[in-house]
Amino acid sequence: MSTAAEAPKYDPAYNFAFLDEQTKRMIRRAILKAIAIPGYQVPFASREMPMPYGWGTGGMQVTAAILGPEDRLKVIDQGADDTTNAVSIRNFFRRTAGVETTERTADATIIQTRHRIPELPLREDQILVYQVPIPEPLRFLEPRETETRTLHALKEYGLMHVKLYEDIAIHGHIATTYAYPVQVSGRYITDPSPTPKFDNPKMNHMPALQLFGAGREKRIYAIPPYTEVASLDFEDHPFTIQAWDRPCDICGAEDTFLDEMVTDDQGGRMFICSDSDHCERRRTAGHTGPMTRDAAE
Amino acid sequence: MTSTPNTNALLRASGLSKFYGGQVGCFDVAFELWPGEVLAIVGESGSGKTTLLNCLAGHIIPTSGVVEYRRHGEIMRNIFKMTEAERRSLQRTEWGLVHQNPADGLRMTVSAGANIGERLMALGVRHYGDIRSAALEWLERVEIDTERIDCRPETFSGGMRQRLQIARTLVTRPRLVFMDEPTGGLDVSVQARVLDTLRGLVTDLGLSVVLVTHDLGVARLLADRMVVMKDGQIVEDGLTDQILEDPQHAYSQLLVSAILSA
Amino acid sequence: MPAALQIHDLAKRFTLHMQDSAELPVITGVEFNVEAGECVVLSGPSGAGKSSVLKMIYGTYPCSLGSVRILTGDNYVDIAKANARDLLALRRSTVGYVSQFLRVIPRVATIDLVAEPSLRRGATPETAYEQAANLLRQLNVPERLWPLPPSTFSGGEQQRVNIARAFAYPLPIMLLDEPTASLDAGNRDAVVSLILKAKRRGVAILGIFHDKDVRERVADRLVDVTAFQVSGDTKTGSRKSRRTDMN
Repeated sequence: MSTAAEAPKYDPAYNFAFLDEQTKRMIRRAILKAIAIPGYQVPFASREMPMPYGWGTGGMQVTAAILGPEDRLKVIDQGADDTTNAVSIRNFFRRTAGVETTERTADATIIQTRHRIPELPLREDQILVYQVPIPEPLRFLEPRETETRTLHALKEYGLMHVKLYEDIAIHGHIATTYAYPVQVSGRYITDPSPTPKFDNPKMNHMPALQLFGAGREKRIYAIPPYTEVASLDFEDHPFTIQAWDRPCDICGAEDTFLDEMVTDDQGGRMFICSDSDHCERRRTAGHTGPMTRDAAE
Repeated sequence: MTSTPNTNALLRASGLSKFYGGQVGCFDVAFELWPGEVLAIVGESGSGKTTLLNCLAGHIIPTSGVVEYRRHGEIMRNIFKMTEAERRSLQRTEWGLVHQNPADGLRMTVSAGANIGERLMALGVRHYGDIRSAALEWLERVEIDTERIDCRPETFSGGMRQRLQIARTLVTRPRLVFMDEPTGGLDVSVQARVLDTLRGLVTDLGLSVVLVTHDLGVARLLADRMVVMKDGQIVEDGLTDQILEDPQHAYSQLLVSAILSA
Repeated sequence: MPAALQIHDLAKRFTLHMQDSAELPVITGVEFNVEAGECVVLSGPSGAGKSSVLKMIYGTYPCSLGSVRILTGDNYVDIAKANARDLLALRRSTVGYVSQFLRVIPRVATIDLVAEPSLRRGATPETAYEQAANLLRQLNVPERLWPLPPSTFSGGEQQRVNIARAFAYPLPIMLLDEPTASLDAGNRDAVVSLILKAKRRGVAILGIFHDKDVRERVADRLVDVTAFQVSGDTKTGSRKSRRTDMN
């Protein structure tokens, strides 16, 4: 199923990238404001998209607003290019914009992602677009929007640490493993979207522009290239990322985020890189993991 | 008349009025509070005492008049001329507020320890161990079993919740604490314990307190001074024992004579 | 040597708003001094206004007329004109009041109550508690009661705790309102010796004592309050109905 690129099938009934030009301008203005205030949630007039809320409408609107005919788009969902949603979104842009799409991180100019950051370090000429369900990191502690806006405005972030304190008190360690809150440029506390905390360090000083779109909540925020992004923690409970005690079963990588897959009904399982493109490239380069090594021998 | 040298009033209200359309909340209120003093604002329902407290604590903007506060090491300043950021910072650091209903002053869905630690974290304390020891220390001070540090206030009784609220408010050692009927919703037997905790902490920490209550017994136990409010105005202002033993104003006499002798 | 306490033209009148603003004059033109180390006793029948004089000096009753001058350092302060803050300061530093009743503070142990005045003024815990123990012993308060709050004690026991607390750190001026009222002879003796000791330390004492024997042993002078009574009538309503005793 994986091919490096597929030929565009542009449908001229649609305006380029589905949204009308004025909408795209409105979204780009919001994006510019977001870049100017790193980590700050900019409200925008989220449009109806041909899919329900909760399926990436925010990310898609951001992508639609910045997409140009020369762009090459990659869409991943939990690191994989071949899930239903990733495929649907890719097809959507092929049809409404006629742009080239790809599964290779290195070849993409725009990467729209749900819940993972690619393993391959990104470049200055790339843009990473995150799909965000709940943009407000304080939402579960403080339900009032009026209050969270004030807290952000006044930089009153004690509440965020209350959540982390609770985790340590109840679990002995900070139990948040995804959507782990970060502070951007020493100012705004931001939700990195439900990416695993494993990916948080990648956000720090990333050469690529990072854009975040929440369609249902109608917010856009951004982290400009080379911006400081620090994960919240305590002095005596510093931030740590997940680690596995075994490599990827397919490519042997020891430093990637691994998915656990159940293989049979006798407890058999395998661990493979969540980032499918990354795994594939390593295999192509000759790397092997325990399972592929066994098969070869 | 002597005045103690080198100390100034901590809080001052002048000509303070709040109207809701044609309705009087409070009218032409004036008094001073000095460091280490406990002032009770006493009155019946509708007397305007809660409106007055809310104006003093910066929660509602008065129609006219001035509330001034002297920050640590500074001069008297009109709190409503401060920026919202500064006023909120004041409310988090030098001021405290104890609500009548403890649920209004607590986060019911996080643990007791987190409740106490929140003000510390808001001030930038980032050491989990320090926060936890402060929480344990304060639970002891308000006589809550330290085993309950990780329990949520949802599981606490009314008296325990109120004592937790007190700990949460006082952990940053505010200079001035506003209290709105701190024992209002509690059973009589429970009230004694909470009042006693309050009394001890006020003395130990040298707190200045503005206390709103309709209960003269609470005022007698905690307050050095009292003002009596009726229909939004202060009708009498004096030492607690003076107002209780020799009330001058007609309404004060009415109020005092209405106490049932135990 | 200026007098520690100077009363000049002092008068008290109550206005009973709940009884059609009836005026109840009590005393007028009160005039006397109390020197340091002296004990002046107010005499006169019940209702004559003796307690009122003490309470005006302490600031519990506002003065209708006149002045109450207290010596602090080199200057006199007039209680009748003092503001609340200064009055509170004077009560902490200069004027103490011991009434018949102990104002019971919930849940504080007796020994802590008696040690508190000294502790508050900077005494070390050892000194403060030792002195508290001595006083309680002198007043025959059994040691088993010391860790308990006085709320369940008998009237006499509470009174003795009250006195111990007052004399733990006697202030320069002490106002005593029937301190021996519910005590037996032995305890009365103990109180008398505390008063005499305080006098020797230069405390100025103004007191009301029902018991003739005690009066004679402690008093240097008597001031008969009936001399200052307002002539004739008390208006409708007795003084007892005017207020409840808040002690």
